[in-house]
Amino acid sequence: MTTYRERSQAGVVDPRIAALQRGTDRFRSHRAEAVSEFAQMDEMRDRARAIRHRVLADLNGYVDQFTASVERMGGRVHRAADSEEARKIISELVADRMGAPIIKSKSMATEEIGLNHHLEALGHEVVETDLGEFIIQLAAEPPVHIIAPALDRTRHEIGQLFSDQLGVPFTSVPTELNQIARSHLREIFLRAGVGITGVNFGVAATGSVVTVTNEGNGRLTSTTPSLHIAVMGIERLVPDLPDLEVMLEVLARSATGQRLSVYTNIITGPRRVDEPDGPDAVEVVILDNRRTSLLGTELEEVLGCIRCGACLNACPVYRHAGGRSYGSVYPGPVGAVLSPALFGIEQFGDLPYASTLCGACLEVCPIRIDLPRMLLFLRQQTAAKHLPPNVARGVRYFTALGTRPALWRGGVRLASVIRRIGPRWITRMPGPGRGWTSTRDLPWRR
Amino acid sequence: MVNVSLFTTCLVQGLYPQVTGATVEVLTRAGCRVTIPKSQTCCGQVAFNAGLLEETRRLAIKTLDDLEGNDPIVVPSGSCADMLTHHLPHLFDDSPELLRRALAVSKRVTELSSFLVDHLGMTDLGARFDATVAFHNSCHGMRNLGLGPQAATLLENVDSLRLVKLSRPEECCGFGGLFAVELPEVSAAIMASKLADVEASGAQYVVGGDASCLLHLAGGLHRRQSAVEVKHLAEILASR
Amino acid sequence: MDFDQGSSMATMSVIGEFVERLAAVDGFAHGPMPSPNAMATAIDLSGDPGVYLGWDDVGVPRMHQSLQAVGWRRLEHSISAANRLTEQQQMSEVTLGITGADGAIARSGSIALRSGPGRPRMASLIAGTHIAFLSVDRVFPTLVDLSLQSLDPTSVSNVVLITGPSRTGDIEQQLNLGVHGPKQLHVILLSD
Repeated sequence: MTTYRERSQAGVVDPRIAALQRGTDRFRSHRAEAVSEFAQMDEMRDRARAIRHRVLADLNGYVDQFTASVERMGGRVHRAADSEEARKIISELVADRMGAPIIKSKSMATEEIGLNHHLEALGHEVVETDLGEFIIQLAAEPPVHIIAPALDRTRHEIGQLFSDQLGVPFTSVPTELNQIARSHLREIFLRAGVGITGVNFGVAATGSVVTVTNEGNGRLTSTTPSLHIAVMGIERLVPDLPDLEVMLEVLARSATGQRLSVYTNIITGPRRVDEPDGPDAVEVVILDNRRTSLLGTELEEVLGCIRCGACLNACPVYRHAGGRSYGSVYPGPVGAVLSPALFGIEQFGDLPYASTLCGACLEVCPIRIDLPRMLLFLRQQTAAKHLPPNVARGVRYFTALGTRPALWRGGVRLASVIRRIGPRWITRMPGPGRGWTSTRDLPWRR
Repeated sequence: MVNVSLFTTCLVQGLYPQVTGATVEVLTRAGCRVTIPKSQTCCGQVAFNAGLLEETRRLAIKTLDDLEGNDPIVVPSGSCADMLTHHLPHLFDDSPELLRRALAVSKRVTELSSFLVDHLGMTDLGARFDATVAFHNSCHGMRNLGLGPQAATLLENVDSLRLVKLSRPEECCGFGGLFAVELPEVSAAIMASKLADVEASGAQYVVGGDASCLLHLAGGLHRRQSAVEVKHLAEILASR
Repeated sequence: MDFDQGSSMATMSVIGEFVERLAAVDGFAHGPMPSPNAMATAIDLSGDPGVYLGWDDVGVPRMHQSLQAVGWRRLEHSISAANRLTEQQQMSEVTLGITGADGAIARSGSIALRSGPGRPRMASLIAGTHIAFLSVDRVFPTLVDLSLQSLDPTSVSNVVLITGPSRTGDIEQQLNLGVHGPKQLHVILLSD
């Protein structure tokens, strides 16, 4: 396993970083515009935050209510304690549908459990239908952004990919690439046996699952196949429909700067007997995967996240070192908290250090999740292991000096004396100082 | 005459001592009698951001002793002021006596530009500085203490000074404390964006309220052989 | 505008905002107009006749007869559990979808559609062009005013809010319309 440091060294020189910055810049300016023209945004953020807290305060109660509601509407609910259980539940649900393709609409929860690989290993054909997700599936790469998985790919790369993988003539015109994907996927939509979607929100009172998309692939995925499987992180519930309205008011504005996404799709059970289309069965898989273990801890707040991606776009570290540097399906500042929290601090304990603590993430978060506070908290848990030993030693010496005023004053005087000699700038330092002078000089002679 | 205690910060003491003199000069001109508690060292932010809680507490307890009293405590650094204001008390959530003392100290702490403008109502200190200047608003001060407008007001009133805007004034400079040495490649990449912005602004000087960001930017500017220089806000306000 | 006399200024401005916002999300608004004009407008917009999918009741009397009179063929769409895949294949011929709408949000330019008997979900989804008829008295200023509760989502399997035509920015954030859903969305406002 590589470290964040190693991955980020590759990330900062990745030629695709410029495309990522252009993309995140556009998301940011669209968000800023949407927020500034919506006078109630701050009030809506407060209400959204209160709703998320209300749910987390009684998560089990809401899960029970949601489960009962889904069942009343003719759907079924499965609770998966971890990734393995979720994969097992889903593979059993699709086991007798081997002949037809499984279509998927973009879902971070299924990325998290590694669903595609699992189903493919069992012999299923799995097709991602969100255009960005389709592109990275062809490229066999992980998503670089939680709402725009192919954000850093150029039209030329995509054209090459389509030409290589789909056997179409090369083009780099976005409208033509779009048309290629549309007709390729349209045929698959109409013969798919199973549709798997994520869930933006589950409504406890009604048993509805809500997906928010722009392309329409989410609607097709949950309409044409006879079986719709919705995979939902256990925390993604809202109590009732008025609460959903509040979440919708903040979600699209924060994500893409839209007032509402193109399709807000509210699915409540399988199609009724007298309805002409829609799936005959709806199965909701509720994924825990350590989420409930965060309840009541310093990290509970991160479960309020609605995956809008605004914190990624705002984060200077994400924007300069890229999404793949995080080495996790959840990149960016929220990923630096979620990844160690959900997947283990042993493996992801260096991510909380991948932040300047500038606070830009908190500033844009629609739920006002205090990521800097949790990054600091995680650093306290992981310092012993993930702080480089020479840095930790340096800080300890410094602290020892700082608690001894006489020694400290001596040090300050010494510094002022030796800074009368030597070079005007120091350009190379050993030990922990090497990190400094590897990229910048240190002003020295006074 | 207003009595104030000056918390100079470790970085200023060690690497940027001219800021102490400049801050005293500015505060004196603003009608303050300045005392500098002799035993002060560091607010503990370095250890805190490293995740070393015990070390942070040790330094913090000492800082509580150093800063006993009733006078306002002025800090020529947004991030150290933020540490003393927002984080110091929480270090002692489990110790009522220390918590009480920490809250008393944190209430007295104000960053320099905010102290001048918000507390004393001073917006013109009679300074003169003949140059084109861009202001770098450091993140902790900006987002946690609402800093920025005060410095802008003060700079606008400096005689002969031409204040130019950065295109992305709210963007982090990539310093981030230990981040700068632990992840130097990322830190430098973020810094490069900031320095490009500074250079494009036409500024001869980049001015800020935090010695930490300034040291980082100065080192980066020198490394790329830029003609742009760095100054602390107090140095500008002290010059005539 | 061809409003009936009872329309207040407040309603006018809400309708105006809806029209403006629908245009901002690359949809097209027509009217308000009475049913006969709406029918003619729909025929004009429908383009070259082919196969279309529609709701039984789109809110305009004799709409289906009129479309068929100019050469459109309506796909009788009711998927049976046994023959889903073969029946669905016919969808690939559909070039026009025609529906009503159960409500609209002025602030975002959105329309709300409920599924139900005689209301295929695919009618607003599969074709390159989607035409929806919307009664002016169902346009509300905001999502909260429209109220999801009022759309009674538990009585049907699907309620969808549609805000403009299908779009993506997944290739270098270049706006592309009609990725998987309709490329053109026309909303014809009914004044009666």
